[in-house]
This record gives sequence, C-alpha cells and structure tokens, in this order.
Amino acid sequence: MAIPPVRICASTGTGSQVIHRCSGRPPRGHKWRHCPWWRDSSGAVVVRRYYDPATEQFVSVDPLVDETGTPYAFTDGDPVNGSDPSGLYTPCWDALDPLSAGFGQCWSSGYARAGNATLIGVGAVVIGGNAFLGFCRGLAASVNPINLVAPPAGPSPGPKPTPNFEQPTNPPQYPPPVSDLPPGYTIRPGNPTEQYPNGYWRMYNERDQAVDPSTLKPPANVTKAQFEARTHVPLPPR
Amino acid sequence: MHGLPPDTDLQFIVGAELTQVCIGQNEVILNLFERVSFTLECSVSFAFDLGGPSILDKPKDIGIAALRLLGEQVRSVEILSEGTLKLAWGTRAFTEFYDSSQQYESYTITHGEEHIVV
Repeated sequence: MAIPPVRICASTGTGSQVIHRCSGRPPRGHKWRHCPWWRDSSGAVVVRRYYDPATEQFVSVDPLVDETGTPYAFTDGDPVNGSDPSGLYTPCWDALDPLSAGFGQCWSSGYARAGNATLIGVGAVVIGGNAFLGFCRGLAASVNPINLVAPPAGPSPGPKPTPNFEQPTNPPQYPPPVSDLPPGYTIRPGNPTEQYPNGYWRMYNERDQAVDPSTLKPPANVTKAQFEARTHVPLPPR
Repeated sequence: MHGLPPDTDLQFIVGAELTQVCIGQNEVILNLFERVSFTLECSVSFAFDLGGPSILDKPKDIGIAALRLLGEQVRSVEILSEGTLKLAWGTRAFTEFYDSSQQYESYTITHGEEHIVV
C-alpha cells in the first residue's frame, strides 16, 4: 500500500481545538464529533510529527524515544498495518465498524498504548482505509478535555491496584435486628471471602451510604482501606 | 470482588436517565429514573465526546466527572470481562465501572429492591 503524503497540523490544545483549526472534511458519512479525522485537498492526512513518505520515517524525534527506542521509526516499521495517531506509539487495532461502535472501542482499548497525558492536543496520521479506525482510537487516546487524570501507561487499561487490606475495626458479630436500626437503615450480608471466611455484613443509612455500625455514620476523613475496614463487619464462626 | 456474570440481565438499565449524582467521601451514588442506582466504590473511567478515557479512583473526582452525565439516558449496557460494566450514555459519553477491589464490593447496581453486588 502506498503511503499518502502527509502534512503537519500545527495546532495545539485539545482534540476538539485541533479539529476546529485544521481544515478538512471528515470521511463520508461520518460525524466530526465521533471520529474526526481529515485530509487536505490533496488527500494528504494530518500528522503531528513530521513524516517523510520516501523514507517512511518521521523526521522529528519521537518524544517517547526512551521507551520506544526508535527515534524516527513509524509504527515499528510497519506503516501499512500500524498506525501512530499521536506520532508517539503504535496502537494495536482490529476491525470494527467505527460509526456504530468505533468510539467505544477506541475508548475502551485503544489508549493505553498511547502513553500519557503528554499526548493531549495532537493531530493524527491515517494511512489507507484501515487508518480510519487507527486514528479514531488514537484521537480518543490523545485528548483529554476534562483533564482529570492522565491515562496510565502500559499494555492495557485498568484500575489501580487495590489498597492493602486492613483488619476490620468491628469485632465479629451478628448484625442487629432490623427493628433496632435507625429509620431507613438496612443491613446487607456478604458471602465469605478470603479475608472474611465466615462472611460479613454492612450497614447502610437512608442515603444508601455504608456506615460504621459503631457510630452509625459513614467514616469521614479516612483512607479507602480504613473505610472498608470500618464498614465491613465479620460474621462470627458458625 | 464478586465479578459480574456475563449473562446477567441488565436491560432494565437501558433508557434510565441520570437524575442525581450523590458524592460522598467514600462513594458516589448515581440515581437514575426509574428505580435504578449505582453505588460506586471502585475505579471508573469516563470518556466524553472526543476525549478520554480518564480512569478515576477518588469519589470526588468520579462524582465531578459524573455531573456531566446528568440528564443523559443510558443508551446501551455491556458486561465486559472481569466484572467491568460499560455504559453508553446519550450519544457522546461512555463509562466503565471496574470490579477493581480484590477484597470488597466494587460497585452495586440497585434496581428497586434488588441489589447486584459486584
């Protein structure tokens, strides 16, 4: 597959800003807001880093050179099957319908390889038909308009590890009878776990917040592990 | 911790509208119309429009992000691997609730009097 010419989008800022500043049209039948990539009048695609089609390499150094070890290589040397929307990495992709499911797929699995928040505000490169998805994923990865946290680096997305377990603060006991609970309070039992071999119970207030049964209040100003330790009451051995 | 069997019927969530976001120090509760709520004590990822995803762990951050979903209806629900619940909201947002706690409940889906603890 021939690599189309590319041009530089010099815009900065969030992805939406890039879209507004870079002229062009989305693919036929596609909406800007879902997967906005564009070509210029010559059919070239927008790229964040300078790219030389003749050598199939970027001509500016990969900001992630320490990680990739390839300061100029494009998609690990596989520009036909690969994509580097941010100019920083090579996301993996698979076939799907980008109009009906693309954004969700981009979002759920495409970003982790893209690195971190330094990707905010970039253009993208697309190559051939398959690049549609690649860019979609890449753009979803590369922008973060709410700027709450940086996506984690690594091979797959996911939550942070669970905090260390803390021993329950309430001794093993059976839950109080419902008639003794404050109005609106409820008790929910839990099945045995590794840490609670006899099972456990939690008490919830009228707002459905877990409370410390010893205070009848949600624990305040505590760590998550402390919160869990105070709101999970082990059942005694049977 | 408990996971979410992939064959769990969660179609009652589809069409529900987020009407209230309750932010506590230890959890976030999303109340939807009608009689559906999510109690989140887990990591949650958000993707809005062109942005995201952002994986959030602190209830305050999760709640603030969830404010953007107020008034949105759940367009689709999908159970991913390892207890992850993916929701599509309206036409422009997605969330994923992770079963991120190894020792405790990660999130609870409430439908009327029924509680699905994940």
